[in-house]
Amino acid sequence: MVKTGNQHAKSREKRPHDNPNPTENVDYGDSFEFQRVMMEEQLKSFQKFKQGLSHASEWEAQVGQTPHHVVYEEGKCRLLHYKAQTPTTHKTPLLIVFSLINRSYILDLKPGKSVVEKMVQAGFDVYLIDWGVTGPADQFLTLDDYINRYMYRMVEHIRQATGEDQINIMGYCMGGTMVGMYAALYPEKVRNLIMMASPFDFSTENCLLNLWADKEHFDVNKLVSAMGGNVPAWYLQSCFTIMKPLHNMLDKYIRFFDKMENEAFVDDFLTMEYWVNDNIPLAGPVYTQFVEDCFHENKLIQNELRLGTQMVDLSKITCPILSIIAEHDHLVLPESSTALNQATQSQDTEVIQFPTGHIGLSVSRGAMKELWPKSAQWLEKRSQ
Amino acid sequence: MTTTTENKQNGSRQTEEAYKNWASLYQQMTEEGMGLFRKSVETAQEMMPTPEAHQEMYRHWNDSFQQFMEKASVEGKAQDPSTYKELYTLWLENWSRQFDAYMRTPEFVENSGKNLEAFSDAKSQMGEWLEEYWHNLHLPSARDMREIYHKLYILERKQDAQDRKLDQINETLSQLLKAVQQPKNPVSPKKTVKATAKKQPKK
Repeated sequence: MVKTGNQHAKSREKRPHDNPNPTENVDYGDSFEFQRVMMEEQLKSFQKFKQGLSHASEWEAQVGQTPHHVVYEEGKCRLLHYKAQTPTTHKTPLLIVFSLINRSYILDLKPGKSVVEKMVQAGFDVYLIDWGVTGPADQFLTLDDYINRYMYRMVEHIRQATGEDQINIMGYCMGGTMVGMYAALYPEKVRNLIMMASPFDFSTENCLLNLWADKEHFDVNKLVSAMGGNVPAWYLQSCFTIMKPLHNMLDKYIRFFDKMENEAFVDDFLTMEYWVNDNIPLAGPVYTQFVEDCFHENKLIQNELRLGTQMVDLSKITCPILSIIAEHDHLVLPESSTALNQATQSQDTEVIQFPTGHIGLSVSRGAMKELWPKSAQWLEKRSQ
Repeated sequence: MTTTTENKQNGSRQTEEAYKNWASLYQQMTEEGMGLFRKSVETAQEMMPTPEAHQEMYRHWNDSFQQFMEKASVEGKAQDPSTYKELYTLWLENWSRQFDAYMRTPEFVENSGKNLEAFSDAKSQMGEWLEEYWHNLHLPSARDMREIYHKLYILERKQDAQDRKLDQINETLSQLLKAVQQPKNPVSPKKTVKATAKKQPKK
């Protein structure tokens, strides 16, 4: 379409500087006008990128900020103690156990985004097990060692230090599964249980991990042996990444670019990335037993799993249980977590299904605002 | 006293011996080198199933992609994005579903299993190659270290078992002590006196 001189003048008058949508009133038939708008947009994008890069380059990891001190050590494991930040402290302390593939700061990511902080603010004396970083010297550690040695001793330490016979325990992901095993073996030492996205029933085929770990096509012993005894963090990380390839390798970076001029967003994004990419290796025998007994045979929920010389019988658990489930969790499906409630003899079970993902449970704004105050209340009522 | 001829003969014998030693060492090193080379060839052979598995996965991806396009062309008519962002979101959702469906197929699971197995075999071969390499250099290899770690682990387990026994003894003792210190029937004054009387000599 050929334009007259007047039409050119008109389109120049309507320059979209103040328009929130700059391309809305542009006449794309006018190639000069189109190029000008495109260049302006590119310049804006460049400035946004520069600003975002400046935020990102100044960013420093400030994880694990809640004041604490180490009260017990064994091997590479440490027991961290966070004192309650209220004038009156609840009688029963809380022990937090997280997955063996994570670092200790995942539940104390940063001020305002910390489950530990929420619990100490609610008046709980919090203890947290830091499993340490698995190295070649730890390649013989089994689930029995982690539960019957390390966890057992740490619980004993807390019981002695506080003078309480029973303690509250909260587990996250694989840490929750381990807490379930501990509670089944030593039910007399547990007052209340909180399970955060913890798998117990591995029979569901809706989860990709269950499909991929199929025993016909996955030789776990061969893999562990080839890896030299421990399963490296990069292997585990790549399995989690490939479960949602487009989201993990494309979409999140596009969204980051879209909002990268926002300093708070950049901070949240980089903190999350720091966590997600900071996994640690897993001891080979633990991985092997988890895959064979849980993914292949689904022994835990059928009370057939053995730790050392003891059988883990979930029906021995009688204490109150709160199951926290992430609605959009692709790693641990809700049905896998809630199966625990039917397997135990507990008369007091509650399920909170929260609209977030697996990691969102511990870091999302919504979880900090609603989920954790509610969970703390649940625990308060049962810790008098 | 040796003559010049004898000296020359001794010298040439020494040179010959040195040469023989060098030749033997060279041969040994070459053989070791060839052994290592052979190992690396074997490693490469172990990886051979990988391209086949990839090819199979790619073929299956194509089939699955075709099905997806057919489905998308029908469903797409009902969706009409008005902005680029909507279009992107729609694209992302559809492709995420496609990937998820693809990764659930038996073909994907089977071939990724083959791929992982080939990788494990190759990595094991590489591990053995390195074991031999360190061994030839007279340095401790991963296998040697593993033996030490295992011994340490066994020792730790034994120590832990002893600690647990001690804990049990302590617990039993403290329970006994409690039972001795506390009167069985606090209403009966006689028993309280007895318990106190028992306690005193201990102090």
